[in-house]
Amino acid sequence: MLWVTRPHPHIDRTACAWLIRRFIDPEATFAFAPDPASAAALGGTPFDMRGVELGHHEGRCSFETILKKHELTDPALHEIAAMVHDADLDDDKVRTPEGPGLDAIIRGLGLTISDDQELLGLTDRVYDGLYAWVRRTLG
Amino acid sequence: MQSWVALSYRIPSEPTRLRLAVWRRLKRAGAVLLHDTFWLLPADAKTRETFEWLAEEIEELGGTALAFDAESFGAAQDETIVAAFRAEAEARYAALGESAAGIRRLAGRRRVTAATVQQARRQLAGLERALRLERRRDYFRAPGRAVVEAAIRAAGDALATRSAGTMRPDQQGAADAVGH
Repeated sequence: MLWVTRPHPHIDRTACAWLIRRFIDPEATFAFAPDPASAAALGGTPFDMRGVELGHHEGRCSFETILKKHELTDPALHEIAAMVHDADLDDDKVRTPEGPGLDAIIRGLGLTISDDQELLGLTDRVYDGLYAWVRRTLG
Repeated sequence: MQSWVALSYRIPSEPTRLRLAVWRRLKRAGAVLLHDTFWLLPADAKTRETFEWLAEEIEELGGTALAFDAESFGAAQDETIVAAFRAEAEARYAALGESAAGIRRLAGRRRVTAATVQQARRQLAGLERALRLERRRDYFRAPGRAVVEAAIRAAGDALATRSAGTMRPDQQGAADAVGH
């Protein structure tokens, strides 16, 4: 299935792409478009775009919205969701020490990698590592 | 060479609340207004997104906004812009530094009540939160950062010794109740 988001992905979009590929649609491919109309023209499911179902809703970031919509209950994913939320939103509710660090790492990767597909390949590995780490702490 | 993202906008003057909300968001992101003309942030995925969302919201509020990637004509201009960012960060750090010095002075007083110590601790926690925000929007490591970090540490240390038992015995019970 094709999934579409805005180009130059930062934390929420890179984390959503990982979540989709690992837990929702193993065959997922990703494309980039500036707005929901262009996403529809590509025939993909849009995420983290203004006004789409898989976006920011009621204070939730897109990652949290996707967890809810797909009823993913893995507690490790919910911990990662809190980190993504902290890194993505400046709502002054920093709950995780990892959030600001994750923000710095993903922003920095975006500065050195201009190809968005390549970036997603790399951030997938970052989130794989984060997931393994959190899973281990949960026993 | 530094890349920037730029935003300029017009928004109806009424209601003031909306104008103010936009302005607050820009300040919170650490954007700097140059020549009263456009707002700048150093370009990265997040700052770009900040202006992207803001531009859309401004249009929804009945205003118009232009957001663009920008590069100056050269290093000298970049330096001027970076200096403007640092100057704003320095002013904010200076304010935090004063608060930290105030807490330290308070902790050094000959007599303090348990309530005062408790209040100073809350102020210190607030300062640490404020410092986290400053670090996030201090894109060019203004020198004041290190100064404030040291001042907050010193205030914390002064307060820690203070609550360790330099109060009058009749206040000790209350101090214990607030956090030990």
